[in-house]
Amino acid sequence: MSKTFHTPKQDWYPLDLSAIVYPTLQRKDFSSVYRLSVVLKEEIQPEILQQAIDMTLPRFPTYKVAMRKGLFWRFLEPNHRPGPFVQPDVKNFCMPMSFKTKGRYLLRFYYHGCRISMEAHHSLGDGNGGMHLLNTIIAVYLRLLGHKIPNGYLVLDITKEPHPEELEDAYLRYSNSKFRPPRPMEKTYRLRGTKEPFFTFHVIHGHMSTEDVLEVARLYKCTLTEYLNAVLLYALLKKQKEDKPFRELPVKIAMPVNLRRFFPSKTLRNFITMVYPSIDPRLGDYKFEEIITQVHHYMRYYINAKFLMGDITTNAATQRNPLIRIVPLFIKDYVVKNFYKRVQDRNSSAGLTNMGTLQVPKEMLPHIHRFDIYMGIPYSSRTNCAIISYNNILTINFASCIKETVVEKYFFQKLVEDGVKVTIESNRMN
Amino acid sequence: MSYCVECGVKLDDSLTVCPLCCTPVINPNILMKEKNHLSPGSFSPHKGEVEPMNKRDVGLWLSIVFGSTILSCFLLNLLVFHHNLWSIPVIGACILLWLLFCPRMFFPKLPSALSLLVSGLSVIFYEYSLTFLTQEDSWFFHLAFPITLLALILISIVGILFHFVSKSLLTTVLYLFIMVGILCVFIELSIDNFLGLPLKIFWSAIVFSVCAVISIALISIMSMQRLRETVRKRLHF
Repeated sequence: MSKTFHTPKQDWYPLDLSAIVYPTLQRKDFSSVYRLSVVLKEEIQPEILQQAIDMTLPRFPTYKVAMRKGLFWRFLEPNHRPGPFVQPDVKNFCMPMSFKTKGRYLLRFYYHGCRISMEAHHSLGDGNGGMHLLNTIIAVYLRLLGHKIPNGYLVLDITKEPHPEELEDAYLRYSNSKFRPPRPMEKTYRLRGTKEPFFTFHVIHGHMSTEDVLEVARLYKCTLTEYLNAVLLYALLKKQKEDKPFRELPVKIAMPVNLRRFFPSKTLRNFITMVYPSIDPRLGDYKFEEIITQVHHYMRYYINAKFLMGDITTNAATQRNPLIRIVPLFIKDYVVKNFYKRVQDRNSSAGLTNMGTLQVPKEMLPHIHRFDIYMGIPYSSRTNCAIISYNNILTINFASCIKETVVEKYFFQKLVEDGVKVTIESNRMN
Repeated sequence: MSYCVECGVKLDDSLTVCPLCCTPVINPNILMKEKNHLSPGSFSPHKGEVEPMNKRDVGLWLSIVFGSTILSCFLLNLLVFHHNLWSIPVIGACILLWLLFCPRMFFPKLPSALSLLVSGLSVIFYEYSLTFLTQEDSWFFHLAFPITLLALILISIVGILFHFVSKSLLTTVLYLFIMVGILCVFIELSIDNFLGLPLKIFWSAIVFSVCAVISIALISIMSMQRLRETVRKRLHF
């Protein structure tokens, strides 16, 4: 199944299959930026953090880059300018990231109290790659403070050269299915909300015990991801009912799947694909147990190596087509942006990502309180949900640019109904 | 820590209202303390801004392209093809395009009103430059200049309304329809005046009526909250 690695030249990196799409969606008020945060148990020292970043970043050559434009594709070029610099945190994080000016980093680092936050443009890599970078920075930061932190799990050795596999476009290695299944293209329910002005970014952050949620998931005979997916679908269905639409539409969630679980690769770049668990209310009213059954069977049916390989082969086919390859970039940008706006974005009602349980070397455990992940500004007026678990703390973050919080309310109310103790924090109304 | 009585979730000390349902948090223990002593929360209270994009390089490149086009056309007209003033529209178009696109690249904080004024004046200047080629200027004074001036005034009014009154989609569409209606009537009257015909409206009356009907429909939708919500719900896509 696997071929030899595509080791890219070290003086530039072509964008990977997913990364090609993100820059085309760039707007004045939108960039595909995500945020990873860690809350330590001590106040952050910005000078030491800057030192840790400067020491760590050269180990991640695909992150120490600037984006440039070619005639047919964009590419990443090593960036030797000073930076990125740590700065005090802001309320409206995941701000658009301009890459059109030469030499800009596609990374930002912030500190606030005990929290270190890293924002990265999705063109550099997915949450898994970003988490490797953040964990390595935390380890180096703690070492600079005098603690003995070994390498391991997501902490990489900064004294070693990066493995060629870390820099590869893993999609190219594994997109070789004989059949290309068609893309799902169905009109789904879209959340309508009152858009907030530019530079507003709302976060509702809920944290709870991972064990509590797992206990509830076990009662429903499903996994934690399936349970949380079902709760979000339940919240969206309830919202659609409340809207009293002329005709109801299916409710779908766009959920990224980490392909490293199925196709071995050490890549720190993007290696994800989307699955769309859904419920069609036109078939009748669903009870919560029925939603769980539907999601459970959907996940079992679709999330396996065969289906996922077919999916990435479909996506790679367009990039491999020689006729498409020779089309100038500005035409590609126009077509991709319109396809995303008219088809892909309408294909789901909300986004949900689950990074799973994060493990760190045991020497780091006493210094870290929790991790947070934020999916960034949604492309359209909807809400995105990101989940991560660390040391029995499960954090669920909803990010949106709309005033209404109905979906978030129904989501957390359902968790409370099921007996989960939820604590809420938010940057709204602070 | 307090619980929301509506949602049942535990709320962080920094919150005075539940962010999910907007229910105020009333905790007798916290009421005893001063509001300023509330926990600052784990989110920063400061708002950030994105660095402006540097388009100076693109501006410089465009200036070189337009400048070299102007120079080469001028020299060709002067030395090689000098039977008429064919270079005037090309040179005028280059100056017009430069004035339309480049000032914002060099001065990103240029006020919109000034930018609009410069754009309007450059269009008028370009139209006037064409009179050297046509050898007569009555079309400019009776047709091009008044129409451009009215378009400029209408765009300025829409800009002011957009900035100070409302930026919603429905209002923007309303402004556009009113503007198109008025402009069409004026264009037809100007053409009649230029051709020396009696001032009468014909085709522009149809356009104006359609614009007026749509504008009245939009105003009634906008003035009724319930109707506006229904239209939003029924037409959502």
